[in-house]
Amino acid sequence: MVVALDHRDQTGLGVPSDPTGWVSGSAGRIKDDCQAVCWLRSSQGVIRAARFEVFAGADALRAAGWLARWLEGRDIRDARAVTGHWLAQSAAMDAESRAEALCLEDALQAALAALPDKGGGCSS
Amino acid sequence: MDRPRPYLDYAATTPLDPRVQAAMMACYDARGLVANPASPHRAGALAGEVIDRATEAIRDYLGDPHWQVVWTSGATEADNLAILGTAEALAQRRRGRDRILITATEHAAVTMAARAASRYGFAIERLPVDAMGRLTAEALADALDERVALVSIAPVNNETGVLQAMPVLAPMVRDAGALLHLDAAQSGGRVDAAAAAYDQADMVSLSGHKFYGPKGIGALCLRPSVRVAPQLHGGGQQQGMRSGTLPVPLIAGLGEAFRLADDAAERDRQWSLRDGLLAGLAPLGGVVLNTPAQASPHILSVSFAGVHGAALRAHLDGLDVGFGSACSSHEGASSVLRAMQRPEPLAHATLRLSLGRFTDGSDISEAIDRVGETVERLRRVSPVWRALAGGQDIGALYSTTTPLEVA
Repeated sequence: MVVALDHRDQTGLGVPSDPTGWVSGSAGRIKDDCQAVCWLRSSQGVIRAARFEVFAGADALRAAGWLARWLEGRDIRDARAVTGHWLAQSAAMDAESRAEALCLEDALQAALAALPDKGGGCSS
Repeated sequence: MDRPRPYLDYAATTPLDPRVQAAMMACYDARGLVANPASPHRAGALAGEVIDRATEAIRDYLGDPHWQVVWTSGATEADNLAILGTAEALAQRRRGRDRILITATEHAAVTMAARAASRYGFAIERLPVDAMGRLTAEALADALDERVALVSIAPVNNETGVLQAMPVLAPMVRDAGALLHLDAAQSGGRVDAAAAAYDQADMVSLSGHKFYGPKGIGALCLRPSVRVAPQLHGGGQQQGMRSGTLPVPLIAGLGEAFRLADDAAERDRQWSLRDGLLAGLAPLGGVVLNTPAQASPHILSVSFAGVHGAALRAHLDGLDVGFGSACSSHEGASSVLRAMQRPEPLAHATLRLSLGRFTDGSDISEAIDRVGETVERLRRVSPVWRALAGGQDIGALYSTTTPLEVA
């Protein structure tokens, strides 16, 4: 699946307006040219909302916004299956942005690990 | 008709001044002919007079009627002729001076020419600059000795606009017995001749298109006592210094451009615009200055903390400006900003906003709006900016001990 994304669209990007009830996980460093924070809110094994903060190139911003929208309503187990390679393909990222896709994957996995609701159980 | 998008990249190239264009067109006669000035007929003599007038305009700008003017294809060729030509000429005479010094922030036309000069047995050394791109007298003094043959300095840097303290530095080079070459591609026509210390230089490179003239023309101005070996061989034009039929309309344009050099009033006007630009951007916060107070009025270089350079490049629409890196951040940040010890991620997030004679207040207002909107939009989603806004120290965040001046 290839998606066309508007680089000005910031849907799914930025800190939640009220972080209460959200968990976050981060990955990357400034000097690695990509730093990302994934914010997730879940209940009953389902991701109810997702957002990303991203310090990276335009392609990574687009892909992060797309991933945030994709995650909403997904089973946590589906989210765990997300890889950078899959994201890069799905969001049609440039070849040179593949490292940033891995950074987004790492942020997502870190946030998933922080969820009290690990999937299949009850939300906190 | 819609207003054209603001052009704030005058340091890259300038529009052709209509008065310069008129001077160029006046070279053509009713037959569309511009004669070869080397031709021994009346039309050739008329073309020669055009060359003479342009030469006088350049000499007037540099403030000395004794400069020898060698017309080149641009400042790059002039820099090559100055550095390679000097190195070759000195190597033939074997005078014992075997070091060439260049500022660490020089344009590639100088750095690559210097690198090429190493084939004549010269050691090429880069003079370090401080965090604001200034070559200090101490750094120059540490490097100068009786083995230095040539020192090349740009009075105004092309990326930051820093104006080197040439009235202090130039006498040091002369006292050391070395030749002084100035790459005046950015200072030419813009800054006061005394501030650039042209009067104390042995060679000065000038560019046409960097100062409202045509592309494809420049000049190397030399003191009569300076010997350079020609780098282009052919019909022996220009006293054998640079062969090739002279492009009379281009030379007329270059001469006219420098006849119209900026005066104090125009410099003050550009200072005012530049100050307004900085004042408009400063409220964004986290605006790191790469341009010191002592600078040419036409360049402002700033880096935006918390903003990713590639995203800034992709998101900034409707404005023509220079950036602090090549097309991709993977290609590395500017060598100038790296020489100033800027962390790479900050160097990438740099804009060079350069203005000129045709810039007005509405260009500045629109630039402030467009840059501000883009920077704020990217910072809203940046974890780095959130950390900075939360009080984290910029130096610690970017892992640098270089003192950063934040507007």
